[in-house]
Amino acid sequence: MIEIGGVTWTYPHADHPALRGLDLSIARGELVALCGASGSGKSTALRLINGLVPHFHDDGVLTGTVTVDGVVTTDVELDALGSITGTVLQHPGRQFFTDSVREETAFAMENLGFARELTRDRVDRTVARLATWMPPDQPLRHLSGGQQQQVAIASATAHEPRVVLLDEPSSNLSPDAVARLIGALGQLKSAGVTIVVAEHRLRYLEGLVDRVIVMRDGAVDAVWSAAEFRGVSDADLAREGLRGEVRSADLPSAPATGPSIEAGTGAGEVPAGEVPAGALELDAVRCHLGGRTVLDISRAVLRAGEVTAIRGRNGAGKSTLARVITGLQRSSGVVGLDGRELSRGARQRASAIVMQDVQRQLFTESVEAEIRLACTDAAGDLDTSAVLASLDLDALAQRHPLSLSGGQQQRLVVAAARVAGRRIVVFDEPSSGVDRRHLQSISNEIRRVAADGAVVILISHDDDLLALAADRGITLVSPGELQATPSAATTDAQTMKETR
Amino acid sequence: MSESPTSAAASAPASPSERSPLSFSFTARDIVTIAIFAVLYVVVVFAIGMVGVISPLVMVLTLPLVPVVGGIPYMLFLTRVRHAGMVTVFGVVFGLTTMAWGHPWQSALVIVAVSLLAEVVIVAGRYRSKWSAIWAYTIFSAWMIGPWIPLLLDREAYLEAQGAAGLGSDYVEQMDALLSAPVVLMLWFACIVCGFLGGLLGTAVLRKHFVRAGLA
Amino acid sequence: MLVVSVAVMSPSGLVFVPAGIVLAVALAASEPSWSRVAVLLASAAIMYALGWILPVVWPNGLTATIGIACGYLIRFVAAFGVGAHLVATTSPTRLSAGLRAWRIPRAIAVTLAVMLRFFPVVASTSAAVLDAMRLRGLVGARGFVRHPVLSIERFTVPMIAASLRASEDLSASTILRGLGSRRTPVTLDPPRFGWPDAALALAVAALAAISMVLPSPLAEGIP
Repeated sequence: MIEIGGVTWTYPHADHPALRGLDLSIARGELVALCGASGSGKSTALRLINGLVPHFHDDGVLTGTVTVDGVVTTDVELDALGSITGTVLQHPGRQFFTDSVREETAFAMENLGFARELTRDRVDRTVARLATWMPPDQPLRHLSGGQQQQVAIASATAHEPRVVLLDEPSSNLSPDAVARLIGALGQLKSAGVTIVVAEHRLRYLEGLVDRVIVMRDGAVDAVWSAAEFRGVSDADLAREGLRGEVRSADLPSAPATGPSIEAGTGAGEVPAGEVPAGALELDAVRCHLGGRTVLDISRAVLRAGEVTAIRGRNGAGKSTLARVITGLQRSSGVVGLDGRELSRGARQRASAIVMQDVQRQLFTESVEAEIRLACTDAAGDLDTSAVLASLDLDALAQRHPLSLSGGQQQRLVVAAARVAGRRIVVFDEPSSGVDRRHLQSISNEIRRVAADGAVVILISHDDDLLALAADRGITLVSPGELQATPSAATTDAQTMKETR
Repeated sequence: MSESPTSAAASAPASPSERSPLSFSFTARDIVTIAIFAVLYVVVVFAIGMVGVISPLVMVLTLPLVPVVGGIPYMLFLTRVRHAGMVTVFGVVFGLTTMAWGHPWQSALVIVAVSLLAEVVIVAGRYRSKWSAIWAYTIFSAWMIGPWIPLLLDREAYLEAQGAAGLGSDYVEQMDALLSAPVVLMLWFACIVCGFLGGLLGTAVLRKHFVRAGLA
Repeated sequence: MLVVSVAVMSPSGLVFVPAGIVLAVALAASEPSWSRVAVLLASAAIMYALGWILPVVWPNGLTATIGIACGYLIRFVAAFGVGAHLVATTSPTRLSAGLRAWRIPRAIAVTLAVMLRFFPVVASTSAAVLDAMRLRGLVGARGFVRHPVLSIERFTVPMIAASLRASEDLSASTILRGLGSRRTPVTLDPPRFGWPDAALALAVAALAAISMVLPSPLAEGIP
């Protein structure tokens, strides 16, 4: 079905090839997992199969051949490959073109010119099969991560491609959303579809996968049959930089009360006299957006030197809380640090956010200039080169920040926040789609910021990261929403939303 | 299975001179490229325009900034032009967009016209010349005259319509003198000069950031 | 939209401006988008005050200039209101289906649809970049006046880079699903000229007729 013969590929502007002499043959109806650490080439291999490599990257250099269902990928245009393959990219929320489940599912069939009756029929069947109990009129961006994943799968498969490719489908999914993902993959497999999954979290595929291919440096490193894979221990997986089981992190609750705090979490009141030094206090903080109350916290205390995790489903007010704390969003109530009330401007000067998309916060033309900009911000002059050396960034000093890898950019932003001596540091989903080794280094970064004595807030869905990096947790719910019973509330907040 | 390189365009070395031949048939990627850069241009222009809304005085100061700042996304767009006609289509969709935010239809026609001219200049530079890109952007910036065209074409009628509304006839005469062709043409010329500066700024930012970041 | 633009921008078009503003406000209210209603009414009121009342109350060269300018800009308010309604209520697929029904060339129809989808992406990226700049203390009138080019650079470079990056997944996925391909697309629910459209057309005709028959407050000036 898929034949990759001796492919070497270099992305435009890259120094090294992403794939080096990759040979791979996948039979019809097989489910293959491609795995390996970040940068091992597993996502690139998927892009090779659906033709994004080379069609989407002008000036890249490709040698070797790729044949999918008898079609040589370099001979045809992307839409021809799109009709025989279906692709689910890593962030389903970022690939939707339309606003509703039905339109999105029909999108490929409309563009590829299927007959109207057939399209209608197949869209209805696909939605019923793969995107069940989805609120049909809900805008797609308001769905949870798991629901978005289901819609993405439905929209990639309604035109009944013979090959389906998924790029890290389990990242950012709660355990029961992973269970639904397994169901969807099982359905596709029993329909005879060839499936290739690029993943760094493998355990959930155990009952389905026919072959596991471990990649390293752009080539095949090891191949495990289904039976061999079952015998591989989690420790072996760790050695390949892979994650094991999806688990939920149990964190002690931070003291917090109010309609926004999920019932059963929050360790109750902290008397005003007993607030630890340097802590961040929220008092009667309410925020209205578009005529709706999006955040309503009676009281919360976040300690300095600790990492407090903020959890909750999409739209529960996590980013609003971060924006209120950092002074970017107006709200009623009092936000105080170290026992003093801080105005919005003062909070802006005391805070930093490490955004999910760190490219949005790199302003200068070199790593050194970026740190220098942060230094001018800090009290007193600092020796830039010494700072760079201590942050382990000196080798990159003259590089353009935008030319760094995602992980390096993130380190640079964290470094700038530390150099500027920010006392409140927010990490917004810092680990989407990273492997185990990288997860550890992100966690170390977060811990280091906390060790400097800052109040660290970690917004994340990633239970693996939370287990490593967080000390306490707060789970938010939409203040208007019906509160679940305490027993249900102890599970992931996403669960509640999706079974509602 | 042979080991020989088989891919067609992709294995060709990435030198600018070998990118042609340019054809009129757009790929889906070209369309998406035009769309994203048109949006970037609109948002940048709109962001600067919003600063000007504070007061008419500020508007006089920020108006010339529009073509200067717009040069940054536009020059990056030109590095990604791969087919003839992309610059024109950019103009057409930008013109339609300006109508959606209230510009007169005459303005949209001007935008299409200057885009066609810009396209010609780019063709003359074989799509890869730095200076032809700068001149093309300078020409494109001439669209700034567009919103004032209805006013220029029928000045008397405009002034009359409002003169009747209680302004004394002396003021109407003063305005008539102020809005005379030479003054407006001077303003227009200033905008074109700013367009040239925008082209230079765009090129500088390309070199300082986007080339080093691997985006151009 | 074209109709409104032509009507309002013609020299004698001031007659149609109140009708255009009424239409824009009604459309905004039907969404309902109360903030736009407020913005439209407020800007129309400011334009009216500056353009018609101020020069009468306090006549001198400056106010007359402002008056003329506002008399011109009030036309934009009407056209903007109608255009904003169109942008806010149309989904990308509906737009491209509609344009296709009008036989607009593929390159332009698809580009407009994709633009409509990219606007929120670029807008949210811009907002995030501004947030990041604010936290780094890079936003402020003083900084802007002192180093205008540097300020512009610090906003546009991350904004463009992050937008391009954010648009990459979207474009890859839509192109793979055949957007902009040379095949003839089929629309799941073809656009129809339904009764709401007919009602809208009637309302527009009625407003235009009223504008012509009744004396216009803008042309008559202050009694």
